[in-house]
Amino acid sequence: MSTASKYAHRRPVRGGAGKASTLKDDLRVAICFFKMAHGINKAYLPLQAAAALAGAARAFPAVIFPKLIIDELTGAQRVPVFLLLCGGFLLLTVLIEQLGTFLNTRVAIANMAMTHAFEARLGERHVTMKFEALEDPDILDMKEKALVPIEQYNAIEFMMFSSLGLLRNGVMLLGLLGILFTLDWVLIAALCVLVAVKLFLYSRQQKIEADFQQELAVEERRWNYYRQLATDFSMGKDMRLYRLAPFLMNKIRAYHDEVVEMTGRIHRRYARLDVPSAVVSAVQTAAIYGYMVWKVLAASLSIGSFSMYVAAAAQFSAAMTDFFNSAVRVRTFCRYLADYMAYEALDLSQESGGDQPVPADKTIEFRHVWFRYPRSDDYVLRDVSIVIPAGEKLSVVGQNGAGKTTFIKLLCRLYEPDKGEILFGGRDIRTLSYDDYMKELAVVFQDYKLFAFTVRENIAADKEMPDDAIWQALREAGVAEEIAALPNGLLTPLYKAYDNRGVELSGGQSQKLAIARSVARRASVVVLDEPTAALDPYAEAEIYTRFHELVAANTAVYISHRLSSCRFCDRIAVFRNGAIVELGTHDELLAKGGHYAELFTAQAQYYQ
Amino acid sequence: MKVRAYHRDERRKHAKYNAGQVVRYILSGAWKTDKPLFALMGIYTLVLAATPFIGVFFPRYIIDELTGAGDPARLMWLVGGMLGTAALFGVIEKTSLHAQAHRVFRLRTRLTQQHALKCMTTAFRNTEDSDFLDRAHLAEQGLWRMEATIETVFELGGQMLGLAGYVAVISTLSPWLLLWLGMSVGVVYLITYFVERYEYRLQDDIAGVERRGAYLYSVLYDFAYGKDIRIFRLSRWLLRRFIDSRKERLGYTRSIQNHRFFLGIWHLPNNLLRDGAVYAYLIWQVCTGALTIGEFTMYLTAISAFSGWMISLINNVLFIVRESWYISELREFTEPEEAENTDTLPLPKAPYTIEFSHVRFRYPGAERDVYTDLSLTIPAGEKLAIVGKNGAGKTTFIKLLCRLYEPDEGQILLNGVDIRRFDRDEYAMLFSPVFQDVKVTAFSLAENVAATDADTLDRERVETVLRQADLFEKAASLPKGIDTPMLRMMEDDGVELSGGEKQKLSFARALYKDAPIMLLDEPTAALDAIAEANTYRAFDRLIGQKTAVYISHRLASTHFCDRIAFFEDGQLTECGTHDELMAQNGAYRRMFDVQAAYYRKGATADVDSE
Repeated sequence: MSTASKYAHRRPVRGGAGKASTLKDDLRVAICFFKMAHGINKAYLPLQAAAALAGAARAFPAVIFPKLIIDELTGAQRVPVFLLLCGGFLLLTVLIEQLGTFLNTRVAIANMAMTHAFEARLGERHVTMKFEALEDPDILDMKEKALVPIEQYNAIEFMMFSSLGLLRNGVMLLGLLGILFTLDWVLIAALCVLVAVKLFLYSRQQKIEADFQQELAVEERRWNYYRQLATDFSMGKDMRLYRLAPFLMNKIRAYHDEVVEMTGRIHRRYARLDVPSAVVSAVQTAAIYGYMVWKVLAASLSIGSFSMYVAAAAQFSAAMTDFFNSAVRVRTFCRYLADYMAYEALDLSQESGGDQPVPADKTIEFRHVWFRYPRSDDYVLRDVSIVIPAGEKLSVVGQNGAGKTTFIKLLCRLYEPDKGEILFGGRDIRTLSYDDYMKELAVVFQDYKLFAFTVRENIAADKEMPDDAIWQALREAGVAEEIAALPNGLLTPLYKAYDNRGVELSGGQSQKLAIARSVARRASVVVLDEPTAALDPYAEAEIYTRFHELVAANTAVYISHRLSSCRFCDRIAVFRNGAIVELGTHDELLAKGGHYAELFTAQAQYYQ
Repeated sequence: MKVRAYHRDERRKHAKYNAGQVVRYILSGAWKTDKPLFALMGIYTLVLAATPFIGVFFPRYIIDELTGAGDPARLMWLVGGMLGTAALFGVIEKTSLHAQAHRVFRLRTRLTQQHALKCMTTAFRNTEDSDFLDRAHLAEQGLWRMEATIETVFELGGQMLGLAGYVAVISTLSPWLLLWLGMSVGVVYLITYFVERYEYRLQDDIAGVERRGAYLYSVLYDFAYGKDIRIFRLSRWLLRRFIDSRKERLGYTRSIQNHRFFLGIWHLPNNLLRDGAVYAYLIWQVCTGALTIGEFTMYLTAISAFSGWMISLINNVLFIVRESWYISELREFTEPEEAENTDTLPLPKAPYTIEFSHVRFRYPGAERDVYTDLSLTIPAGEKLAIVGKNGAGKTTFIKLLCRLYEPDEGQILLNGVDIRRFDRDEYAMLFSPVFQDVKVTAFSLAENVAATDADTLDRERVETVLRQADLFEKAASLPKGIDTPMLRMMEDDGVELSGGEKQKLSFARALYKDAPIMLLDEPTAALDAIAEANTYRAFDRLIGQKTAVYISHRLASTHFCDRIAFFEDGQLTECGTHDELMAQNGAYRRMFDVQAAYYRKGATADVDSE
């Protein structure tokens, strides 16, 4: 079974999000792809070309030498000539074979290195691109689309593999054509007809393939979703207590029937193309045979030449089929890679910002800041102005969606204000060196992420940091004892994803470790976003009581739905619909009887 | 998922089924569900095996005729015969190929369904067992490999026939030559074996590197890490680690490929000896007149094809052996589980009294009991709050109650009958759970509420419960109302709900189910103060006369419960109404005060000094 047919009824595969693509589009993608590959490794394309040449050369000894041997057999039958011919035939075959194997092993290594380089390249862009892209659903969608063919179908490797096949068969065709030219024009004319017919069939095949993929692109999404749904074990409780299984299985079965039916339909179309094509191939081979037989009978061709031309014509026909199959595959992968190239081409680089040193004065000021998320009409922050003097402990409260977390994201330069400015020590933060400014901030986001590396690496990353400093941070976060109890102390890995000796942490422990990571930075501004949502009252109270120790003389911003947290902050900023509506101490705001009082009472009434 | 795939080698040594059993499993599965597929595949592989012989036999006779009598009529018949055979074989091959393609695919969808069903209905404890999750993902890999393996199994059958054909042809020339060729194939097998063995020995190391690489890849590619990477300036470090890990991986490939090449050099003398002897023999035979030129061509073609045929056969066998390991995983995974209990007593009539009687329970693989001896009765209609520190065993209570886990000792009784004696599905219908993290599926809002197909759900009831859960306004504002698809996974116009809305959806779903017992596990953790207070106020209305079990860290919620059960280290240490427990001045009171302190006037000083 040829690879092409094996490939044809594989699982649904997404193709270029269902766009029909022209030869020009595909060519552009291919050129872009190989330019990238060439940029990564200059030796790559020459290596591919060499491997293609060696692969093509393989066919020729078996076409030429038997002729020479047969000529000798039907002729003088000299032993030294036989020795020379057989020896030459064998050595040449074996050497080409070895060269081919050698180059193929090099290509295998180079292909893996290339795939890695592509991964690293995109990985680098992900960790350096401007943050707003990470929260843009369109970019996220683009990323998913771009990566599905890469991650699930190895599109990069297949692209390289298929284009090697295309090149190899192309070279082989040219060589065989050279041999056939030595006969006469009739054969060449016959082969031209063959090429024309194949081209016609190729365009039909291309069309079916394109239609197929267009249909599959739609199915692909559903296929992936159903697959994911079935193995999403976090739905375990819902699945059993709401008896979702029968409901979902019905959906899956109905969907499967639909795709199977569709695959059958597509293959009936393929059959209508492939069956006549098989007959045409047979007719052509027979025609060539017939013509050659006639030439032999007319005594203008030796038996040796007869077998050579017949072999060459058969090879030519096979190489032609492979060539067009490779072409179909290359174009298919071009379509897969179109999304990838489009994603890769996006310019999302972070503007490096200014290069001013960070001032010694740590006062933060928001001055008439307006902000809305990209592609959104509504302002999330409206004319926010606030001065946070160095060392102040500020509590930020408000309902869901009031703009609290956005306020922090702007402070962290994850987004930039649309209007107004944010000042640090009197300077617009955009003019400050990005790296230096980041060093001033220690943030624990609500959805903080720890890494599956060791405790030490989680806290210090690759920086030199004495053990004492790390333990100090762990103590301040209240998690030192638990870490000390781990089998390898600071060198214990977390989770099992990276190292299967890793340990699982409870929600509270992770939270405290995330806090320790921030504390260890000894930054001048500490931001805690909802750190106690998952904690029990004691653990919550522990964080509260440690808060002052944690932030010491630094500026602190504390966000929480638990209004109890406002009691130990100097001031409270109350957000409502994107604006700071109240600002003051707990007592002041409670006395005022405004939004804060409403929020506080809503929670406090149950504790009186 | 990527990460999990690399645990395979720790399990590879314990594959339950060997390659032969896997092949039998595939064939019997296909035989049971799709007999025409067998016929089609049989025809297809037969033709595939026979096709090369057209090129072996016809040229021989044509050449013989050309070098002999040269009778044009006979030659025409020969060429015509070749044309006819080739066309016939071609038509049969392509027809059968395209006719079976969707059948093989259907076979895979059947197995996919078995896999999905198993994942969805396996004992709940498995869904929290990382070993089981690994196995599920490995079995999924088996699914991916199914089609190619089925095809290869059939192809192998054809190849065996083809092999017999070559053996037959070559043995008419000389059995010794056949032996000679067999030996050379043996050498090829040995070389391949040593290459594979070398690779196999590196598998464990490679698995480790790949797993680490896959993790680093996910950190770089998952946007969820974006904020922390930027704030803590980790990008260069992570990138360097990733590149180093990939370099390490490439090192293995390099050494495997080098090994492959250097071992492959043994092919050189092997081929020289094999083909040299064959050519010498054939030429000698022609020179002595024992062979015609036509026969010479035929044997040359057959012999050079024979080696290639054998090599591809060996590779196919190795392929099946390799893939069979994953399919063994699939087979093992989809085998029925031991039935835990087959009792199917009908459920008693409402009202329901629940009793935990001397329950001892420990999670599989854990070192400590969650409960050593827990006894608690919940009378019908009671609203019970369960409070305690993290890890005190609150959520486990709900899991046992729902029969997601079973007690190791003691019993849970429903109206005096052990719950294990009821039908599992029917028993599940008694509960309406509301969790903190509702799992929205990519179907319509109504389907999410009703947990059933759009055709069978009660639309009026959906609207009623949406109203009760305060989500109707939102639903009405959506483009297609309650038929609006959720998420963007399947439909471009899918809608994402906010955290608070998902919470409400969770309530709506519980109300639609309208089961006699409500279970609420931290339903307000993600809500703001006002939304939280609104939820509390709505409770009485939402729960009505039903029994309810409520778990929360927010002790305020205990106010509207009839009774509070305070758990400490798996023990029920205090139980009573809020006022009773406050009066008791025990652990509950201490915990309540810790939280309440911040909400009381002038309490800040006390708290700070604590």
